[in-house]
Amino acid sequence: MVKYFPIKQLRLDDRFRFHLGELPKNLIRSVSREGVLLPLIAVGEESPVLVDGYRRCALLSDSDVVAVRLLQDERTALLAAVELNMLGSAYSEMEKARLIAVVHENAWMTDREILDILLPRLGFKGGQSVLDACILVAELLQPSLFSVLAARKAPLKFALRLTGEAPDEQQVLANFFSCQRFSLSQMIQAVDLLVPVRKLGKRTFSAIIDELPREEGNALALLRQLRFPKATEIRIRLNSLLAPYRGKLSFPEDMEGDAFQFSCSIKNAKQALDCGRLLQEISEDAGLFQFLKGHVCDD
Amino acid sequence: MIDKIFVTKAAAEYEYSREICKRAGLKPELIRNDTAYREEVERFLPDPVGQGKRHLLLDVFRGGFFRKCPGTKGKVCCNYYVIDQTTNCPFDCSYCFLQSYLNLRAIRFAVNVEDLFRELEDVFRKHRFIRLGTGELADSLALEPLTGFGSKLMKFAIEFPGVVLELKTKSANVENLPDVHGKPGRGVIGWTMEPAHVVSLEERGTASLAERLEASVRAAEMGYGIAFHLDPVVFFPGFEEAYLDLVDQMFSCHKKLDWMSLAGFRYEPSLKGFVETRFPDSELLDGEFLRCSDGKYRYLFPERIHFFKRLVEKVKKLSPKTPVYFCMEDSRTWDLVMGKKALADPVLEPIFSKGGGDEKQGM
Ligand code: SF4
Repeated sequence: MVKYFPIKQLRLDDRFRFHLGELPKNLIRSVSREGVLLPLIAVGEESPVLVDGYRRCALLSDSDVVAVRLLQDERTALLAAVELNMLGSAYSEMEKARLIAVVHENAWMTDREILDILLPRLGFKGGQSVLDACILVAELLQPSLFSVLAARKAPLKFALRLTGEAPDEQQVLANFFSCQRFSLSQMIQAVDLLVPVRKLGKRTFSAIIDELPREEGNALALLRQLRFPKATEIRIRLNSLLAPYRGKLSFPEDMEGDAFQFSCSIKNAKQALDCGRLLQEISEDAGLFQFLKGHVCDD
Repeated sequence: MIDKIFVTKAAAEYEYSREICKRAGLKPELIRNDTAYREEVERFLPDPVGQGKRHLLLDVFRGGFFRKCPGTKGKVCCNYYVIDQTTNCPFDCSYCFLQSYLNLRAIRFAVNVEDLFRELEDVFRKHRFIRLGTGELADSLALEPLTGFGSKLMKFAIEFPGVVLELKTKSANVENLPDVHGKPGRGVIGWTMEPAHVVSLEERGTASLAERLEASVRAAEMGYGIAFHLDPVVFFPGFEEAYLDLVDQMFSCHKKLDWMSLAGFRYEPSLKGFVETRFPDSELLDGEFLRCSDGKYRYLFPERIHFFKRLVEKVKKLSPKTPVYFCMEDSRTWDLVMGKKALADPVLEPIFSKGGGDEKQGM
């Protein structure tokens, strides 16, 4: 049943605020121009509780009247909201996780119903382990870290991995990610680097991060050096050895090699001569061959 | 080790299914097929990978059981053939690629072994020499006390001259294997060997190093050739001495092995998440890795070469006639570690003989 209500008559309930980000720009434009076209979803007849449409409502004034699709219970209302949202601005994985956890916590569906109905509608593959992951993420992630991850549309798997961290370490991560303005892939890289550095150095995240420079941009490179000291050393040495040969001499990126590669395009006699000179120079560069000997452990 | 047995409708027709359930002392649950297991059981497991390892699914396999080991593109191939009769394994190794590879989490065991034997007989009759094993997607002997499959297969294959059957395991389940003295074929039991530190941290549920060594001595007494696989070699603080010490222990039990393989730990990116979430104490990912051109992560090249050289040198000193080969390494690594002519060394003849593809004249 669809009825019209002034916005101020709708009761709000934070449990149903599943969308954590902003409305897409085109929707903001449309709502401010045309008002809310698609009915909101709510439960209860007399003083309905809003289930879907929080972000749209926020754009309207208290006196506006909106069309509300009234449903009888939370379960039905939620499923209708999910259906609608999955067609348009689908939830991110973090939002889905919270939604599932809320449904579970309020017993609006049984576990079996969540697995059979809700997960497929949300496009989540998997079973009980996904449901458990959602509950853990909603329960154990610190709110600050949850918001940072949600803002970057982090996958459930990544969020789940961070639930194993102590609350203070989670807080440190949340601050670090925000200060550095990391993208999702940078956040994942940072955790991949920080966890082993912490383990091998027996330090906390905050001790490691405190040693990094404050400016944006360098943190990951420095973490990489801490995590891969030997590879960094080889790379630095290699770069300085290759520098004089202006990109003509190279070594495999993955260092899986026992030889340098030389490449040179020759269009005329002068280029051939230049190339010959460069090869001569290379042949006299003892450092290069010493590196190679060490690299293939030729003693 | 196994706490539930599921029997598909098709497998329920086989006497072998009843035998296995009886030996396990478990009442089987009858299910339609593997899809039903996925939908009605696996979906409800909080830890599908871990719990699936305690579920045995007896099934009937309708396709071919036998195939050539695919090896890896660009790596030296050792002409090995594999039998896929069981997939998955009750042991739980942090580095096991099956965690990210299998799409059914139970241990799936094909009970229609007569079909397998028919297929194998055909293959064996056509080949002069063939080296094969069952340990690609499962541990060959982990379930031996329940299924006795290793023994059945060995009894069958060992009667064919030119057949070298390897059962690869991390268990010590050799007592029920047949004595193979004087048989026309060759039975080999292969063990993955790791220093005790790695066994205890990374190989849940497997036999200890001492148990594996003891079992290998017993197997040798029963006429089996012995193979040891140092695969994966895991780098951890003190690993060099630990592996060299392991080599000492191996050759104090056996003068010569049928073969020994070496491979550094490498991993596909998809394995990482499993190690991190399922093995919080693992040291597997602590080393320094670089992503290689095939997409896998490997330890730094010079470190691998350096260590393999030491290891191979030691093996050559202790047992010059043991064929040592690299699994999953390219010819450059071979050249650097073993010398340019390594692949032509007659000691390696049993490993690299192309007999697998060699059809007998006139058949
Ligand atoms: S024994 Fe082999 S198959 Fe079994 S878990 Fe370990 S690596 Fe995997």
